[in-house]
Amino acid sequence: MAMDHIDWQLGRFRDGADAPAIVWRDRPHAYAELTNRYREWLGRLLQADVRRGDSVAVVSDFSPGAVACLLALLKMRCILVPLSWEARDQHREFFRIGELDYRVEIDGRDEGTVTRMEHRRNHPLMQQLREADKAGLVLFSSGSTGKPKGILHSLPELLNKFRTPRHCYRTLTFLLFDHIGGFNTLFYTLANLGCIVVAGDRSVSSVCAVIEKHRVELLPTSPSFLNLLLLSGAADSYDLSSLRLITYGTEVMPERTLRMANEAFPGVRFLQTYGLSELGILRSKSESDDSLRVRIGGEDYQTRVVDGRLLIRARSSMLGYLNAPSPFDEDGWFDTGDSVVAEDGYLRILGRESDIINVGGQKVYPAEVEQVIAEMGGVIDVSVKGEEHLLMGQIVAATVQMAEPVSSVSMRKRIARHCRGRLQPFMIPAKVRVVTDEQVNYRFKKIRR
Amino acid sequence: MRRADLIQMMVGMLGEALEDEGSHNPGKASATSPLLGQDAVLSSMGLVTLITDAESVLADEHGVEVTLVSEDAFSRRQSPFRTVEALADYVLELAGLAPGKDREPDGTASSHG
Repeated sequence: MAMDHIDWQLGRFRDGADAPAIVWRDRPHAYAELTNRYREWLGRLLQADVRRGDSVAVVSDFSPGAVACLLALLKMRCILVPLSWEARDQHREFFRIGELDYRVEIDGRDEGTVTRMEHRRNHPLMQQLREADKAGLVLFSSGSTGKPKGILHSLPELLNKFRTPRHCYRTLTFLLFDHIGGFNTLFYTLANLGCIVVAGDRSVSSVCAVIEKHRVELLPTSPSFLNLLLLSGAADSYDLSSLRLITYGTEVMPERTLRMANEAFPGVRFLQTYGLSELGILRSKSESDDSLRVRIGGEDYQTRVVDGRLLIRARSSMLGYLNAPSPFDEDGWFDTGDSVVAEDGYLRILGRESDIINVGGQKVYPAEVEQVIAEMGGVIDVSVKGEEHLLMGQIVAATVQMAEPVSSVSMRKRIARHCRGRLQPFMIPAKVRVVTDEQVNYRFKKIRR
Repeated sequence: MRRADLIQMMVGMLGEALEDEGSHNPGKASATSPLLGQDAVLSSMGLVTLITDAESVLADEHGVEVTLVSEDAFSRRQSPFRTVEALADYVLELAGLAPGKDREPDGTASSHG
């Protein structure tokens, strides 16, 4: 049988013993130290009577202890359920869906407690994983539509691709490993003996301060965060010259944001990423730094476009949902729900089909309208969504974030004037709401409200 | 809020809406300009926007919360969206404000379907 990923990974740690693995609270922790923390956690988990195949939540922020604990659980072939403190309101539900046997809570001093839980074990997919004697991973979809879904992965398949050597970077992360992007960043970086730099909080200024101080090379981010970064003018007040690569994904990138980002960071490569909690992160290649067209796939993934929607078949997709029917068709294809245009061998991602607004039978992509409104002076951020309307089926409603309050009707008129000639009449928001607070959630994804 | 004031305000909004749609004669906005049917002065999106704006202004500036586009509005024998005047009467009815004495004899606030 092939070597477990964790044993391969620990071998890598020995090669890079003195290299920094994680910079946490401004202090580097070398791979040797991470290995020691891993051994400590292995001892603690065994002491607490955690066993092979147990389902164990790790509630924490990104820290050396949390990473060490995850690695120990991987070694023990447990089912890992990483959870952030920020999602605490949903923890009870997550504990139930994940059929937890234990939960580990890691506090701000990076110290943990292990608590026995008594959830009923009855999910056939979890049982299947235990019988195969494989470690697992449970992630929860953000649940923007309806209740969150528990997603069960078999870890050996998900981790296998990281053994192919890739470039190693000093990588900033503000996504925790409870998110497929954060999980991917962690294991990619560990496999290539890179260094994870943990942002203190997700504000633009503290992210920039960390990039400057620790000479971060790779910033994986979202269009919403890039927007905030550009608007804040932080690039002028911090030394961000260490940046070599900025990757962006999870939502549609506005053209203007990408153009401005390229102007603000001339020496930096820009790469669009694409991934889903259900399938993992695909390998991707943007047409160029300033192009929204991207090739996605890689050896583990097949893609095709049916009726304008992207379908993917992955070698290492999830086993299934823990609380919803299987979304795969009989040949194993997964419908991403993303509308795409295929052009010259590249894809342009238009947005979630469920976000598409239908105004009297005509389709409106929120991202397209958002891009045009975002060009306006004084607009900090904008989100567009459909609103039910008896006359039109749906109407386009925009929420704009402004520095100062403005009446909604006068703002609607300003927007209409600006959009005329740039958008078709039915795409112009019929309703506008003005807010003065931020519209992104803690994962820097736009909240469409 | 007096009916006459409401009508005046809404005629003003209709004039602006006509201007926004590029009408050459925004002055033709009146309390009796047809808003529906073949002779409608606005496009359908223009009408939707006018109604939404009216809701916003009523809520933001007059503290009157009304939902003008509803099943009720559609189920009436005579549509409250046919003229500014009819729309004003509908607003007053929904807001529970007694129609003023200056109301026209053809007011339709009592024409429940």
